[in-house]
Amino acid sequence: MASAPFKAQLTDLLNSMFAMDFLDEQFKELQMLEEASGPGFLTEVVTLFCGDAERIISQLDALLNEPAVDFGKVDANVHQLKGSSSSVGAKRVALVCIKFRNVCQENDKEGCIAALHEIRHEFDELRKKFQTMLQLEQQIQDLDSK
Amino acid sequence: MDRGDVDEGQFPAGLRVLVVDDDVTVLRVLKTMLLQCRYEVTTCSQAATALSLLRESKDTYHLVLSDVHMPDMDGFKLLELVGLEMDLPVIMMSADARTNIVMKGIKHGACDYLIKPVRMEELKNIWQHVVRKKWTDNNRDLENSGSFEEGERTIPNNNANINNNNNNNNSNKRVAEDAEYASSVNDGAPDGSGGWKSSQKKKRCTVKEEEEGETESADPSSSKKPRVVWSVELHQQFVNAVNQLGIEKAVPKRILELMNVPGLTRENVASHLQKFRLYLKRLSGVTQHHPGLSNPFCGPVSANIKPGPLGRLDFETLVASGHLPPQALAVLEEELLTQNGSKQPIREIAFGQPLVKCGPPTSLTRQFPQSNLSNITMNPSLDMPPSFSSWPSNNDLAQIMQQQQQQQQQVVGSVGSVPQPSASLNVQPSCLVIPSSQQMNNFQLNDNTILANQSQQSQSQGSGFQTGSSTLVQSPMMLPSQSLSSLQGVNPASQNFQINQGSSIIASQPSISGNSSYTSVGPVIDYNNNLISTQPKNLRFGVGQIVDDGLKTMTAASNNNSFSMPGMMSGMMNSGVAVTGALVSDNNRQVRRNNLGFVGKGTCLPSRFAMDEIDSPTTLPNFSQIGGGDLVNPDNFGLDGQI
Repeated sequence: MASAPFKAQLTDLLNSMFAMDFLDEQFKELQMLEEASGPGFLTEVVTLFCGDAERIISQLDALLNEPAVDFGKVDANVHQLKGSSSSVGAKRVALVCIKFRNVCQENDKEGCIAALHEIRHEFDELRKKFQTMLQLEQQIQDLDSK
Repeated sequence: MDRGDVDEGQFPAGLRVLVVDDDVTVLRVLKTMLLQCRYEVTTCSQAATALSLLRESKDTYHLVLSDVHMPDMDGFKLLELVGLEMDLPVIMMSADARTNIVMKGIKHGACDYLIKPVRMEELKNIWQHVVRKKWTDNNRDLENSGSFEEGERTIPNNNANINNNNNNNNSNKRVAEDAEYASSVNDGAPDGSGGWKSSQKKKRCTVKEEEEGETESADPSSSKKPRVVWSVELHQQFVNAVNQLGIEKAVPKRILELMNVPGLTRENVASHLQKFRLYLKRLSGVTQHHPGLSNPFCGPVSANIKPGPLGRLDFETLVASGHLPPQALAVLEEELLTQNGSKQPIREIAFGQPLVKCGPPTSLTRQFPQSNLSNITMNPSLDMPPSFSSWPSNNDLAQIMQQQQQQQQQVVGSVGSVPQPSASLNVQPSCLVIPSSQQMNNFQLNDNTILANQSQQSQSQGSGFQTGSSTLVQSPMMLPSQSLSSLQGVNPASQNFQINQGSSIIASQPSISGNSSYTSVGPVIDYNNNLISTQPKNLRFGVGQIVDDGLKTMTAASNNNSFSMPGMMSGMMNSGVAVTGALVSDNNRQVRRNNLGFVGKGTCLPSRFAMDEIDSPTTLPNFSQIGGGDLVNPDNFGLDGQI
């Protein structure tokens, strides 16, 4: 099959993501759901997540740049990001969110800024991988449907 | 849609679930998972939308899955509202796994609490909650009521083997009991009741017998349980009786005697009393801390409040639902709006705190007959107690309401911008705070009801009005006028506006008329318990919100005689605003009578929201009273049991 190499690549990518904890069991559940509910599900979820996370991270950035940081809002945002990332299986991002919440609860602005950087970093990494994953999926689909 | 619609052969497929979560990613994932379970799924990202969907057609959904942290409304509040108004099982979800939060969820009545990420296996079991709840309700009703018939559709439990291995919340005994027979139920029988009947043991034997006598509902496989409908009046009578006896001494038998309602059984009263007690406890517990806690009574007065879809309206529901006959509301509103006389600043109604000083009864006098401030009683028989007239804030309220009208409706949880920061809404404890403008239409603040803060009841001084007041509040919507007065106002300066947590009025129903913007109240009272802290003066939360919701509810309630407000009062602690009375009346414009300062719990304002001069809520000295039997004691609050 023409798509075989892409499939292999995708498999490798996913395996490495799992191995490095970019993704966890929850993602596997989603994969199973995709199988059951048809293609497109994962793509949609991943896309939604990326969009949402990006928005939250920007918001966090803005909040932390305020002269008087509203830690309550920061916490709420981080909590939300934690919920979304864990629902998607984005383990590393979720873990950093937990850390973030801890410093936030102590009203530690510096700590929050540092945590935000870390989240940003993890998320960017994850997003790149997701993008690759989606591209590969797309290619596989295109090839398979021919 | 009838819940009985679920295809029996495929049970639990077809279960209709409403999912509420502000996170779209999560919604998408859950939707897919639920579809995988062959449930029918509706998603919404806003609690307000969810509420309106539920209200539109209570029977459409079997179960609600809601996130805890949402921007527009606290999940717990939604939980309570749904439980009260629609009596649907609600499952909470959150990424927050802290035990205390989970506990909070359970205490607020969640059937279950799932930690995100939610897995398929967990979702596969959610149907058990629906069935269990129905059975439990059925059983309870059978035990308790006997005299009233109520058709109840239940999900056909054919061929459903209930496993009790789910991590159900066993927060209440009921669930545990249910689980007991649930697990042993093997209902292959077409007659659902037969199936589980046989498995009944111990506790439910009486139920079993009663069941035999039950009339079957349209759906033969569903068990029918006659239910007492705790209408507003009935609940008010109940509350009055309890107050007369004193909460500590209120025993079902005596309450029943005092109530003197033909056809009501001791069991009905007993179960209602139990709920009531829990409610009170919750209020007192809740009010202690976070104002934002959703109170069961916070239920918004929804327009659709009817005695619950299940036909069972416990007082909480009533309160929450704030059923207020629309006419009543209208009357109230009218009055409120017409009182433009005094420009007295609206004082916040501090629940439990001496309510603002309601100024001289001037403003009200015009509308009401002699205002006797001290006479703010919620007597139902009062025809708009004169004391109401002494509520100076009416005018202000009206103004506020108007302002609120202009504001957007935030409703849900967040208190819209309060139009005027300084305009504190003086809400007398029993005053109805009518936050939203639109709502105001319906919601009429009955002058009467609202108590004039002035009451001298300093004795009761507010303090007690808080949560404890819930007992007081019991009367749907009404704060015992007297009590209110005491609450209120004792302190002219106190402008505490406290909104009942439970204010049903506030119920965040954004959807309701859409007007309910709390905005008038000003401070942001959002359901997330952040309210209060924001603005000191405004009635904000309490008033605005409450009103809003309350109004809504009230309007909607038009004929329901449900108590919409019970909750309101209870929230006193924080809520301060007691909007009472208004709601209570029956469809007619009795609102006046009842009026009251509807204290909506809904918004639970932090105790500090009081206006600047208001005494800090913490001074509610008699909180204990409220909680305890004293509050209920008519003496304290002037409750005379009359609605």
